[in-house]
Amino acid sequence: MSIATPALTSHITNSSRHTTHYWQAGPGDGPLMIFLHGWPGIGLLWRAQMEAFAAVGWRCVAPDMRGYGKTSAPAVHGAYSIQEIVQDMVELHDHLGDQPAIWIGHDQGSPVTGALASHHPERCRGAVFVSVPYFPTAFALPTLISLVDRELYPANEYPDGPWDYYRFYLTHFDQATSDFDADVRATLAAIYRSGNPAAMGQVYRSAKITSGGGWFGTAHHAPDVTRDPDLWPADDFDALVDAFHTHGFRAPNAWYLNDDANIAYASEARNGGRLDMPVLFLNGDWDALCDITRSPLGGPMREACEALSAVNLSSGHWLPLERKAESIQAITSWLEAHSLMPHNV
Amino acid sequence: MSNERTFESGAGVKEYDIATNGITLHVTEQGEGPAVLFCHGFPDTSYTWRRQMEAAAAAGYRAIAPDMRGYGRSSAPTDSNLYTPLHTVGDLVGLLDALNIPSTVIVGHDWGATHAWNAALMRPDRFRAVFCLSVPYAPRGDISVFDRMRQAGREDDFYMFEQIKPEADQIWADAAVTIPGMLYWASGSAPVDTCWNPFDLARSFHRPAPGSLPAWAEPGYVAHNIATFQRTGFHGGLNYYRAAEPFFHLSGPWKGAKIGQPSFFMGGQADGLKLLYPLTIDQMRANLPGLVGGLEIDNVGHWLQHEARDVVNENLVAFLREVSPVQST
Repeated sequence: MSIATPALTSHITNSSRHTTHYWQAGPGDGPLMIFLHGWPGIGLLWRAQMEAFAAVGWRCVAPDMRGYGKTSAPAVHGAYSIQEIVQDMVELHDHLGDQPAIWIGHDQGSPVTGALASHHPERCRGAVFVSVPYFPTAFALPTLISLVDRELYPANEYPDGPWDYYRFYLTHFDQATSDFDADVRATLAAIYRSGNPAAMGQVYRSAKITSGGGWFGTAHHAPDVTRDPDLWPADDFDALVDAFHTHGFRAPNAWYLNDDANIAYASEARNGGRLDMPVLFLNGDWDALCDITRSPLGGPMREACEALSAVNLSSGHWLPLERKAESIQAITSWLEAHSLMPHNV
Repeated sequence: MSNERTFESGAGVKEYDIATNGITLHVTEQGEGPAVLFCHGFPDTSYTWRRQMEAAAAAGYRAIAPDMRGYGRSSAPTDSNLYTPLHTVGDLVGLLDALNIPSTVIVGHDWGATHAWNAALMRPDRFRAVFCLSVPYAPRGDISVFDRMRQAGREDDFYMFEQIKPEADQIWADAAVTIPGMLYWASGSAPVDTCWNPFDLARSFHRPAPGSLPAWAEPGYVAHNIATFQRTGFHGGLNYYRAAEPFFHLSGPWKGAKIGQPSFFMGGQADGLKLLYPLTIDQMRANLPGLVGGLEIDNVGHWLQHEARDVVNENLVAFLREVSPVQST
């Protein structure tokens, strides 16, 4: 017996304020699992996970987030606050029938998942944070700086620690954007690289963006590298590049410009931002920026979650792409442990 | 206000970011009471005011010091046209708006003095009094300092012509050398015949210092600025020089304008800038009708807030008490 791989189909939903494009796979009457990509992605990031969970009965949905892919990309930087993005997700969820869902977010999709779960817990049966942990006071520069490992990043030399790249969006936004836009294919190929275990315990290069004059230094464009074949499949990478040819990096980078609004929004969460539903964190053991086993970065999440499971995978930052099978296995085990698999619905 | 969460980095010292005027300003704050806003100069950071902020806070004031645009952890636009006083005064007004401060005393040193004088000139409603170090107020005249120097045949030796060149970024780049060098050669500790002279490139202020710095240069401050400029480079700071001549052409509306608010000026007798601005306190009064007082200190150079810390603190606090008294409860 052979089982056909469930196809990903493309859909659009419009509200009065926004248009979201999303990918869907699996039975239309299956329980909902919603996947949120981060910077700089598109919904196709989740192909492997969507195909696997669709095959066992889940209705899997992965939107292009605001500013990405075929979803609308407003020009104003303030349009990229987490509150606006959560409202996009609420409208998408209503469109999908609003049954409580499993929400899974990677990178900047993680703070969206966290805010959705903390402001709209009735929409969330379980939350999975991939690579970036949950921050009940918002994923924002002051929160992150307060959690820097100061033995590795002395305050005098590295006041913003490995989050200097985040500071660089605030101090040099136009340059940061034009450097990435200069050669979109090379930029995306340079960003999406497999993790390097040897980088752990060393000062990460994200801490030296200001001193280097940008991610790409004085060249102001990405080095001439080609796609890491272990991460994006070739056709999906082409789709990613096409998407960035359309909008560029201005909108994705604008997600970093709304600390003020995001901190204020987080302070309005129900229950002080505590999460009572089952929560899974997938940690990249070689994620030099976000790993929580060697830095205090996961502390606020551990405090704020009633039922937290954390799984450590041998991966860099692009965990959904680097550890496709292992991430599916880890999520499956967690769903089973919490009786959340479709046969329990 | 960009970050409502603040975090303590010293005794009662808060740091936060404010998004305003199209950029982000990194701000340090200490104390509670009437506001005092500190503007640093070149090549420096808000940390230069550490001891003055402590003194102001102890006297019952709210001391606020941004890293000026181009410096430290504030935004540093690449385009030098974005560094005129029209931009910095906009930053400072935006900063006051974000903090809900109707009016403040403003303090400046070096380029920060230029920003402070211009803030007082452009917005007397927001800047009620002004206290400046090193750079006196002189109204905009008929000819820019650059043209004046060109006409005097000083294109090859006046320091500002070097500062505005693109290669100045590289001349300054080795912060471990240039930051201590600038502190030493522009100070009153350098010998009078070899100290910084703005009309002699052989006596530039970015020469390596001849040894360890004098005791007035606190090691923590020097290390902080070396680390900061190693990270940020000098392009942003040098952009203030590059914007100076374009600003001359924009500042016609303020030609001959006087500053009427209460003001105070302190200069170092050994400051090389005295050769460029040879004004006496009495001469300043003609354009500063509100001048409360002035002081020129012997054997002190450009870095008054460090070289003459206690005298600066004493005069600053006395000025604050006069122009912006703390309400007794």
